[in-house]
Amino acid sequence: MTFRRTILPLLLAAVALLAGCGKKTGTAAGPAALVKVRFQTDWFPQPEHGGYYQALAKGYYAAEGLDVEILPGGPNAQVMSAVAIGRAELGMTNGDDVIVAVARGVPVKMVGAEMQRDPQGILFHTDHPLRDLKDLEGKTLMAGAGSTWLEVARKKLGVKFNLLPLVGDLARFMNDKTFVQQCFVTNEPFFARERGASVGALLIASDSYEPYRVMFTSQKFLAEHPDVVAKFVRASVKGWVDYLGGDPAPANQLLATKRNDLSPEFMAYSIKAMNDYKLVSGDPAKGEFAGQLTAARLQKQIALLQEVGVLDKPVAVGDVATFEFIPKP
Amino acid sequence: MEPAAPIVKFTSLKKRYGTGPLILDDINLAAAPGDFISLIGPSGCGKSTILKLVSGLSPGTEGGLEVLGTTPKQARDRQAFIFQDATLLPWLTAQRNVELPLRLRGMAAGERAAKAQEMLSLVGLDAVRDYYPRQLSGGMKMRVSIARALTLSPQLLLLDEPFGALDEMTRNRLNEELLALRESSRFTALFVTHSVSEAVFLSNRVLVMAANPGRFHAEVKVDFPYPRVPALRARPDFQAKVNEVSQLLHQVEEVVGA
Amino acid sequence: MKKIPPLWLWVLPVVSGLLFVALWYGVRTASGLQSWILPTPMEILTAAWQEKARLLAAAGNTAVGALVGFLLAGTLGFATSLLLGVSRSLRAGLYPWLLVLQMTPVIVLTPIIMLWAGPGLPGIVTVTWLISFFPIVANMTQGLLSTDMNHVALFRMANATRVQEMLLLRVPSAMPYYLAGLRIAATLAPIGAIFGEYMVGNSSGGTGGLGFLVYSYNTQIKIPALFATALTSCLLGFIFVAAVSWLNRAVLHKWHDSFERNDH
Repeated sequence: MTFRRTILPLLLAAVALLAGCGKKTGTAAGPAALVKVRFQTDWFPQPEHGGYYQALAKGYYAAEGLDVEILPGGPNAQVMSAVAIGRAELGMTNGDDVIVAVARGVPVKMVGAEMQRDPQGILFHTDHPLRDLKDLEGKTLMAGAGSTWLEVARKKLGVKFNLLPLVGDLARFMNDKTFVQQCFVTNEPFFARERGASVGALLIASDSYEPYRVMFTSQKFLAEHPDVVAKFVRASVKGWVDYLGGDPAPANQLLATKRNDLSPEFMAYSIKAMNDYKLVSGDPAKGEFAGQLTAARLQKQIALLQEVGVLDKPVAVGDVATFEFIPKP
Repeated sequence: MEPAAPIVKFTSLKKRYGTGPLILDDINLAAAPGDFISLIGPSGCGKSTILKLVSGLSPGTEGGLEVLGTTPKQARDRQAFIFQDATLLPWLTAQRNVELPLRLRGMAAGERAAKAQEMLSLVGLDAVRDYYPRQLSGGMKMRVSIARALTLSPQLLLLDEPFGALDEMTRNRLNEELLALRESSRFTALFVTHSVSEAVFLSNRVLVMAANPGRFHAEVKVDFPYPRVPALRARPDFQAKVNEVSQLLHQVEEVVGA
Repeated sequence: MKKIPPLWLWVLPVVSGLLFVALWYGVRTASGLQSWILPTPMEILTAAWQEKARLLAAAGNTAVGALVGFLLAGTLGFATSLLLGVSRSLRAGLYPWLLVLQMTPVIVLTPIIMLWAGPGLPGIVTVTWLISFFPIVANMTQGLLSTDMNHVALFRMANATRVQEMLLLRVPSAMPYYLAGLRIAATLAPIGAIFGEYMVGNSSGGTGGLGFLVYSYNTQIKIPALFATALTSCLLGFIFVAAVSWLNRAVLHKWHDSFERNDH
């Protein structure tokens, strides 16, 4: 019957396509003796991940005997869960996320800093500037509803503002000079200026609120392969220093193959922003260096999160981080 | 000479649905081989139900029913049912529709194609065997249905008002063709109809039924010899038979209102 | 062979299209909105031309996701309907849960999908499948249960087995319903794929799909290109629906009443 003749090929085609699109398990062996490591990032490939791509492009991982696969994320990237259940060996995220997760019982731990300061910021038009978080008083702000810094602003600093849910574009911002919107200082200001707006960005991190941006892993992987973790952290920090201080072309070229909508101007701007704000290297005057985690700062962060009520239960610094892999400055 | 075993034998059969009212009451009927029996009566007298009982599509409640010497369901392979509409499968050509009973029996493709073409020739539809039902007229569809029914040479043919939807001329033609087929295929027939002249033309026995509950009211024997010709309809003795049956019908129809 | 429609059947849509474009220009001028809120049709077409390589590559990626998700929905939908059609107890046991699946907003499921399937094609296919699956099952099950009772009686008279009844009667009889479900799914699959790309997609192959372009142009405030992406999505959707309509026609036109008879 004609029906069998049309439906059956459809069935076979579907099966064939499915077979070809099987999920990657990430366990394929690389060249002999290279250890396979999957690293989960939190967004689409971008210069804010540049250090890792530099380490990959310039062979720093390979030199340590690691075959690293950088897994792109996206709007719904579940970095914490991916690492916790073993879909990736390591991941990167905001340090606060790790502290909150550990308090909730998720078996993960920080192993090194990616950035000394998180690049989250607030975008404003220069006609209505913000100097610090207290300037948000009475304003309408578009920000990510779950962000920890909002709780800090509300509860610790006592700032009152109207919150709008964050959307992925600047349409409203461009139209309203009094509008302020959460952004990444490495990202949105570039596009706003490209469209002719005069803008500035306030870095949210300050003396009262200083989250790290960290590399982390599951406690299981840490216990079973501390040597791999050490190598990964070492090579990654080397990649970051080289990306921001040396010639970023290898990483940028690699990024361009992952996404063809990153312009050279944009990538240059991101790198400059990361340097200007000293995001990765930190402030040498305070003794900070790339990759560093300090117990003092983490303790302060834990106390702050406890105070504003985002931790399910108290945690100790030793629960959330290990310092054995911090490279020498 | 011993009388041949009856093709269908109802013995005091009653039927009701569940615990509802009696649909059929005390049905007694013996159909001899070669009989052409018409069932005629007012709406609701259960004439279609009789066919469903014989084909095993519906069970009786009380009493006996033997078909071809066994139970109705067991006798299905030697029966064929022709429904009120042609019930051709619309996605199959005429030929493939006729092949269907053979296919369900597991006959090979080449064999059943040949047999189906033979049957279609018998009803004069050789030319349209690759047509789909929606391309055929009502009369043609009914002929295909008949061809399909006769493919397995059934001993008993059940027909439920098959020509009711057709115009009078086509209906008369099909009556004649049906009788012609009977000459070569030798089946016994149980035929349900609303048309008195059709019943008289086709049958050797006309059973008039009454309703509430359904039961046999009277039987009229029609002795005209077979094969019957169209000219029979014009004869006065034919008209007389038609009147006789009509009068019996009026009797039962008057009672219904009471 | 279709008859060529009268001229006015073509003229009318063109005229209303032109009126709409005129209205667009009018609103744009009157409101003084900038190009990065409401671009003019000309700007959109220019952007489409400039970005054509990226748009085409993205459309290709989206098409793959939509097609795989659609085929999955078509085959699994067919199989599930058979299960539901065959057994009353399966129907009673399964159907409510299918409804639950249908009612759950996909947006709620996307983090879970992201976790199981990872970003990229498997996640996108899952989202597309979720959106396309239910109309197919609902329609085809209805078709299997709506088989003409006289036909069933015919098969019973021939002492057909249950398998014969299913394969030779119920399934062919349900084909128009199944194809109707496929037609609905064809309108949903491209949208589902783009939504999936936006929620669980990535920039695979350097371009990603149309959903990724939406994100990309949006963050870069390239609004004419964003509208051009929407236009491309429309076209992709049309192609999808046209393909399924062709399939529908190929299977049904000879015998089904939904197609006009041409031989009388």
